[in-house]
Amino acid sequence: MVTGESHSGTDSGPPPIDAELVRKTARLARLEIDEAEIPKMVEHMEKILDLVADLGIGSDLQSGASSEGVEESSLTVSEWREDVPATANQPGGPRDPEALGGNAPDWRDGAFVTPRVVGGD
Amino acid sequence: MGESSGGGVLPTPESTSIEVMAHLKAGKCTTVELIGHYLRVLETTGRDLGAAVEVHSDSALAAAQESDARRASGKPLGKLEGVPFTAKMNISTAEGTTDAASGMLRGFKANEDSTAVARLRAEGAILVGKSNCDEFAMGASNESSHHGVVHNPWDRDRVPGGSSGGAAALAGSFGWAFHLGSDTGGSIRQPAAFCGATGLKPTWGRVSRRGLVAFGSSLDQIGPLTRDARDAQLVLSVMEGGDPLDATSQDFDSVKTPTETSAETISMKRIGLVSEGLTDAIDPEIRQRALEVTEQLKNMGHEVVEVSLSTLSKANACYQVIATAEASSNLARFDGIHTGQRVESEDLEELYSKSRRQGFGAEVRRRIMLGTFVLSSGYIDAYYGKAQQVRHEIRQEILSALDTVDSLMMPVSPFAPFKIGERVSDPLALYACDILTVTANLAGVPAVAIPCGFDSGGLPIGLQWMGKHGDDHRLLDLATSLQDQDDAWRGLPPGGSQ
Repeated sequence: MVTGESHSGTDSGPPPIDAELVRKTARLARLEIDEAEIPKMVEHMEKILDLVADLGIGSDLQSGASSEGVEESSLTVSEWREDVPATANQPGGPRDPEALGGNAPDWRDGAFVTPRVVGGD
Repeated sequence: MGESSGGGVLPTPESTSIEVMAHLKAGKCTTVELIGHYLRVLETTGRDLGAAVEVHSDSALAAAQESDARRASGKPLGKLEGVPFTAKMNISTAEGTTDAASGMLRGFKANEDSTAVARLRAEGAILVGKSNCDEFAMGASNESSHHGVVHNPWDRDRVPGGSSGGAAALAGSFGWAFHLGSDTGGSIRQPAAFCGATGLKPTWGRVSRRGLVAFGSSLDQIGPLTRDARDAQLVLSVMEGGDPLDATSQDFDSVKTPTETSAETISMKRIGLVSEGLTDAIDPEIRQRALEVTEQLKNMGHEVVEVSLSTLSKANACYQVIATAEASSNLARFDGIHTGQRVESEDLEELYSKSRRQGFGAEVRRRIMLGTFVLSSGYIDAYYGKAQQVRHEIRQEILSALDTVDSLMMPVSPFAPFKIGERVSDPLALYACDILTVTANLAGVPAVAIPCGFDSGGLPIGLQWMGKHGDDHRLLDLATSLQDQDDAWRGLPPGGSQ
């Protein structure tokens, strides 16, 4: 669940899909969006959310319904196995670091390289 | 099929994998000859259709030599000894790349086999290449792959369906091999129906998802696309079963259920014909074919009763919320740091957003946006919570219906294969492809699609049957009995097998 930003609109039925909502959602999705792409994205999201409204979304938004207590399980797993530590270089286990980094765009000295995120001058 | 270059006699092009194994056992050709010819099929027909994106000639021929050596020395042979197979681009293999047909994963090497692939190889099957698909398996027309479109072998101006469009086009155009696909909302069954192939979406959890690039984790299943249901049965029996590396996988009992008495030899005697699958929204020729097959089933001794599934009309909307929510979460890992494309930036957030903008195609970006929206604060309860509630209702209705009948029968697609480019600009037109297939994924039940003749335009028609959790093999028994009645499925498209 994404909780970084909150939208308003729970009091007034399905939200109007507008450019601002698309920009906000794109920020949450860590997805750059060009201004020129926004009108089409608005149109497509509106269409899809209209389809989804068949589920009775509008009335729930108005009543502030919660999903608490909703039975979620559509899955057939009846019992989860205990966790088992995987052994080194076995599938699922710790890997040779160089093999791990082999697909990274920038890999140096056994580490993924990112832009500086803390400190700096 | 004539002589191979080595002097052996090759199987006919429409032969199934099981027939190919009998051919090899009889010594009519060597595995090297067989695999060598199949690699040429991939390089010609497979590439021409856009279906084969990688051909693993060296490793496949080496495996074929080992198989011939095993056979010559009398060593134990596998259940799929010498049979060629391909894996969809979102299924990890030790050789080649596993890029999920996305620019984001261009050049990604998994360097190890998914559990399904490893189990197949352990029984002698030979990986010959990777098949095209929609980007991250999101699509119903195979028009969103960064490898390009796939063409339907029955009419090359039309789509093969999706997302496992490459696998279906290969299965529909030439025999011998089987092809691994994945099905999140119909991605095995719909392309199988469009291309005249047999496709199985197993019970959720029956086949390990380890090594499958995740799209919608509560919906995804790896399954086979084959010439016929017997091949699917064999492939499933090798791949299935619990895997310690996928905690959601489990063993299912393959034993017949108690509803079948020992005196009863018909698999799935009571069949429910889903009335919502026969409405005006469905192409009349497809509806007509479904009714004809119903008569055929009655003649074979089945009871067919009409069953109404009132939740079917909500299934597509429910699926759009759940699948996009899970996709936005699963695809959050592609960030330009650990794998794939990176757009350099001094700012980490900007690096993420620019890399993801560049790496993902338009359909994937749209689904990430929608999924992010339905999970965002203020909307999660109304959209995702509501969809989970509806999913529960759908599942309950399917399971109740399957208490009264052994399987539920419907068309696979509401319409015939459409022209390339016809639906690509309208997401709702594309999502309409899924209306009859998503229910099985939402309920987690198995569903098999088989070719059931052609429409007046010569395009394949596919019908599907859903069964209870774990009833995969009984469904395939039913499909086999139908295919034994009418072998129209054996036909290959004109020119498709060259």
